[in-house]
Order: sequence, then structure tokens, then C-alpha cells
Amino acid sequence: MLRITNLLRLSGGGVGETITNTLTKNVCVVSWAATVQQSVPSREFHMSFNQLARFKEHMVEAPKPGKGNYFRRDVHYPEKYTIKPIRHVVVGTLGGGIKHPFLWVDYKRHVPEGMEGPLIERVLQIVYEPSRTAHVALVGYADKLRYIIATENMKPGDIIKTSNEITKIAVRANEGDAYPLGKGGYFARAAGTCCKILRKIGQRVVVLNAKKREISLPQNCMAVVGRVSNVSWDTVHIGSPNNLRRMGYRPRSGLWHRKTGYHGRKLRRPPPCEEYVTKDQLPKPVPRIKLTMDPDVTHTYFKQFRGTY
Amino acid sequence: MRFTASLLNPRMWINMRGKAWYRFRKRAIPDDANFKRIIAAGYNVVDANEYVKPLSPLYTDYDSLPDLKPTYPVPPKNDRNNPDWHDEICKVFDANVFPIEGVQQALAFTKGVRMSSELPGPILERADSIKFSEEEDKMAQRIVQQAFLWDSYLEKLPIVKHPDYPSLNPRRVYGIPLKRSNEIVFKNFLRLIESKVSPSISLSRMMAPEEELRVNLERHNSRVQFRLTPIVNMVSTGLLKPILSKQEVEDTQHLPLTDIYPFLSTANMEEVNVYKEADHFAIQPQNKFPYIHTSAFSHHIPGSHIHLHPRWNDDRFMGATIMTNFATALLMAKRKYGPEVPKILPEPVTTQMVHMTGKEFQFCVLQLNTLDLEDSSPTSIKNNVWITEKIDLYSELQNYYGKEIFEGYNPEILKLVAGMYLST
Repeated sequence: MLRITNLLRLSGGGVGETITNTLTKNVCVVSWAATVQQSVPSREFHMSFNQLARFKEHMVEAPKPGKGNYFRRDVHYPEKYTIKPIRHVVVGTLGGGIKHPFLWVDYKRHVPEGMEGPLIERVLQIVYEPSRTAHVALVGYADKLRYIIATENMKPGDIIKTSNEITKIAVRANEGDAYPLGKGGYFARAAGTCCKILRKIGQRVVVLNAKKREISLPQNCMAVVGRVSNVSWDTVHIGSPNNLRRMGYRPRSGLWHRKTGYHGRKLRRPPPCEEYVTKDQLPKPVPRIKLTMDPDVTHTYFKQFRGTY
Repeated sequence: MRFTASLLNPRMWINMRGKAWYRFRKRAIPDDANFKRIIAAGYNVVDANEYVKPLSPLYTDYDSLPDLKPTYPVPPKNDRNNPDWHDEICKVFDANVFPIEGVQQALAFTKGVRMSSELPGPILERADSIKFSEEEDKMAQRIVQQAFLWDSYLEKLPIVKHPDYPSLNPRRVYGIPLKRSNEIVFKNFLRLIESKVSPSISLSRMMAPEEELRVNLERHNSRVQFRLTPIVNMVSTGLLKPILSKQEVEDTQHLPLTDIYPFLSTANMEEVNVYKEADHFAIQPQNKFPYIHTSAFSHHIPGSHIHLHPRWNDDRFMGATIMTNFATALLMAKRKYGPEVPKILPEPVTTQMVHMTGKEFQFCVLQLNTLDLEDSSPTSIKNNVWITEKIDLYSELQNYYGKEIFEGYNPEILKLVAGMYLST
């Protein structure tokens, strides 16, 4: 449950505050705000003249492999974003593992550059995707269709809003909408997870992680209102050892082994608040100054004084 | 003794080893008495090894072998090096593409108005006027059985995958491909009808070859191209007369246009850089039969694992029929009025269409009154669309462990095809 009325009392600088008036809604923190400097695409995309005249194309980055869901999976991302399922292979097996239709999900909920006002999209379909625990929603506006992580009560026909503005007046947020606050597609993607906004300090906002750890984020980041879908994933009865193999678990004995590293012996207090920073705010590397001289010049320079020493 | 893999086969039986040795031994030309007889008769005998070199399995001299170049050139890839590459993107409406919002999107794209869920009155009257005897009814049923059960052409069919179990690959079955069975049904229905009709009508029609249509259009400030391959294109000497008169078209001006906010009507189309800019139709305008009368399209997706993707529902199927019918009507309008068609056509253009999935048929008639599609004012002239729901040709038709089951034949479809055939 979320309570954000405290923000009114603790807020410092008055310019540019978002205050949501929802008392009983959770927040799942989903995406960076969009600025062209930040969203650097990993591959070259083609932009046509007609589209430039309206606004720049909504670029979708291919996520980097090797972490989380992409562990041991070699995904062949095409050049351009597509709705069609992508081939992926489990690395290190014979046969490539179970081949699910892997869908390229857009984790960033931001407004494309050049567009004035909020981005309004409609939900077309909720899709079950076996390569992640959450459900995925097919969503579109104008010519473009894309997949996003679905929240708990999303259904086909809903209208979703993402806005980039930080306003003084409170906003009545509906589930599924996205407003500025939060780092994206990164903190709460798993089924049934959500984050909680705790307090606001200047131009940063402190948010409670899905793992109950505090993080401070710049106010421009985007957050989606609601809880990630497929809430009852935890409660599903596994049923058979085959099902565990399909989930990715290798066979085990079932006994408690002392030295595995899980369930550590010491209870430690949680670490302090972790700060996340945009690329602009990173300390810039100090430019190195190199003093170079032509070799001809050095010869003459030292030769001049050779006799005097 | 020659060094062959069959002798090193460990599965070979011990008894066979001697026989294989004898079979694969190096043979020399024998010195028989016959050669002496040939030489005595005065012929020249020469060693064959001078003219023919035996191929050794250890080494092949590839330089001496002739160049095996393909007789046809390799088609170019869809890269920047392709001669048809353009930097400007083109949106393509293909057999694989469906409108994401279904009928609403198709009507918004074509600026159309759905008049009724049945074909227009004149076509239904002509359909009732033709009567088929019992023998002809039996012939029609035999046509359907021939198309789906008895035809001797067999091909390895694509896998029909269950969407919930994508990793299950059942064995591929030999059978009649769907495209062929649709061809057989429709063409033979037309032949049946032709036998009952006077020669003045039947001689003014011709069946055109199966070749890709290409029509270009500008919509929402982007280029749109239709690429469609009909099974049968029935072509005639003259265009169809419009169904609604001018007064009746003006009466339909007040009907509302569909709005699919936040989508545009070009949603879910494929975006492509390699395309040809010109329109294309197999039959030239100088031909005796230059105008399309009816066209039949079959819903088969070659090379795909599923004939019908689970996202193709009835609504989207219906939208696709409207879009294809619009493409044929556009082609005819460009043929009649030239490449630059006036915004409001002086005489409307009508085309008819049949969309088949083997079991289900859908009939569509479109009257093209305007090409001013960007104008969305409420009192502008609109295009008229008559489209039916999906009609089943049969309820059950399959070969069940050697038994042929054929039940629920629907004679209504042959009547509707006849009604469409007779329209002038």
C-alpha cells in the first residue's frame, strides 16, 4: 500500500513537483525519462524524412545479454523493433533448449521527442510470455505497436497515458499510466512486484525497492502506477519435477546443505540508500594535458644551453 | 583393391566381406579370345584408360571438371545494394498483414460505409433466378470432394502448430495444399455456371492468370502499397455498372465515419525499403478483356507453420477482405481515368470479391465513389461496402481412417457465385 501524502509536508524546492493523490495504489518503477542524449541506441536505426517531420522515431534498445532473464540465452535481435517473436537459443545445451516465442519488450515508458502533450495508447491484448514471470501487453498508438509489461488490472480496450511533465498540482493517476519518477525497466519487472515512493528530497525521490531496499532517483525518471501482473505466480502448485526443469532448476536432493551460501548465518542491517545518477551528473573525466615538443625543437633548445652548463 | 567406405562399415556381416571384396575389386580389361578375333578381322583395339580417367575416391581434380554454374542468376538480397532500394519507407499490405482493429480500421482507411450484412439486392435476385437441377447439385458436391479428398496431387503440408505448445513438432503429413483445393472449387463452380448461361455473357469473360497485383496509394503522408496474388481473376470487356445511383450515393452522405483513435488506419502494416514504384497488373490495357469483374483470393500463407495465425479472428479477416477489394477497385479506377484519378469519380467503379479459407467463404462488393480519403468531414461522399459474414461450404469433410465423411453441404454458396457471375 502506498501513502504519498507525506510528500506535501517534506517537499523543499517548489518548482517541479509531482504529487500523486492516490492513497491505496502501488507503484512499479519502470523507465528512464527520454532525452536524446540519454537514450543512445545500441544499433543504428533508420529514420525517414516523413517521420522526422512529425517527431523522432521511438527507438527501442536491445537489452544487454548475460543478466537476469537473459542468463545463458543467446537472443538474435533484428535491426529494427518488431512484434514478431524472436528466435533465441539456450547456450551450452544440445539442441538449444525449449524454444519459446521470445517477444521483444519495450521497458521504457517515455514520450517520443517532439511530441507535445501526453502519449495516449490503447491496450490491445494481454499476452502470456513463457520467458518471463509477468504478463505482457500489446499496446499501440498511430502506426506503432509494441509490448510493455502489463500491470495487474490491465485489460484489452484500456487507454494508457504517459506524460513527461512535472506539474505543481497533484495528478489523479489511473492504473497503467506513467508519470515522471524512477529508473526504468529495471527495478520491478517480475510478477506481482511493486515499489513504494517514500519521500522527496530536493530534486531526488527516495523509493523502496521490490527487495525492500531504499534507492534515490532523479525526479525525471518515469514510474508506472500499479502492480506488475500475474500476481498469483507465487502460489502456483509446481506439480511435477518436470515442471521445475522447464523453469530452469536442476535436480537437487531437497535437504538443507550448510555450505551452499544461501540463508547466511549473520543478520546484517540493510545497506544505506543507493543513489542513481544520470550520465550528465557523473563526474566528468578530467582532460589530460600532454606536453609535447617537436624533436627538432628539443635538439636546438638543449644545444643552445649545452655550452653554458 | 579399391578403398571404399562400404568395406569399412563395421555393421557389415563377416560373411559379406569376401563378396564385397569381389564386388568392389579393381577390374582390368580381360584378355579374352574375342579380342584376338577382332584384331584378326582388321579392327584397331586401343586401351580404354587412355580416354577415360576413373575417378579416385581419395582425390578429385576439380579443375578438370566442368563449371557447374546455375542457369538462373541468384536474386539480390534486400540490402542497400538492391537496385530497388529506396530510403523512403513504404508500407506494404500483404497476405500476411491484417488490420489490427478489424473492420473499423478497414472502413477508416477506405473511407467506407457498411451498407448491410448481405449482398446488394440485384445480385441476390439474380442468384435466385438460376436454378440448379439435382444432377448439377451432385456435380457441385463432387467438385468439393475432388478438391479436398480425391485430388491426386500430394505435397508435404506445413505443420499446424498449437500456439500453447510451440516446441511440439508433429510429423508432417502429405496432402492437398489449401491453395490448390481453393482453386479447384472456385474454377469448377465457374465452369458449372458457364454451362447454364447464354454465350453472350460467357464470351465476354475470361480467366486471367495468377500473378501479383501491385497498387500504390498515399495515406497519412506515407506511401502504401498493396501486393496481392489472387487465385482467379475473372476479367471482362467492360466495367461493372454502379449499384447505387448518384441520388442514392448522396443519401448516404450523412452516415458517420469510423474513428479508431489513437490508431491510424495504416497500423500493423509492414515497413519496407525495397519496393517497385509502379503499379502492376498482368493484363495490359490494350487487351480485349482489360477490366476486373470478380477476383477470388485464398487465405493461405505459403511457407508458414500455421495457416491461420491465432490473431486472425473474424473481425480482422473481414477487414482484410475490404482492403483487398479496395485495391482491385483502385486499380480499375486508375486504368479507366489514368494515373491521376480525380478526387470524386465522375462514374463510380465497382468490383466484386470472394475470400476463401477452404471451408469458409466471404463475399464482398465495393463501390468506389471518391479517392479523397484524407478529408474526414462528416458530410463528404463516402464509398459503399456490402460484405457478408463467413459462410460455411460444408460442416464436415475429412478422411477419417479410410472413411470419407462429407456432411452438411451448403448450396447457397454456388448460388451467390452465380449471382456475382451474372452481374454486368
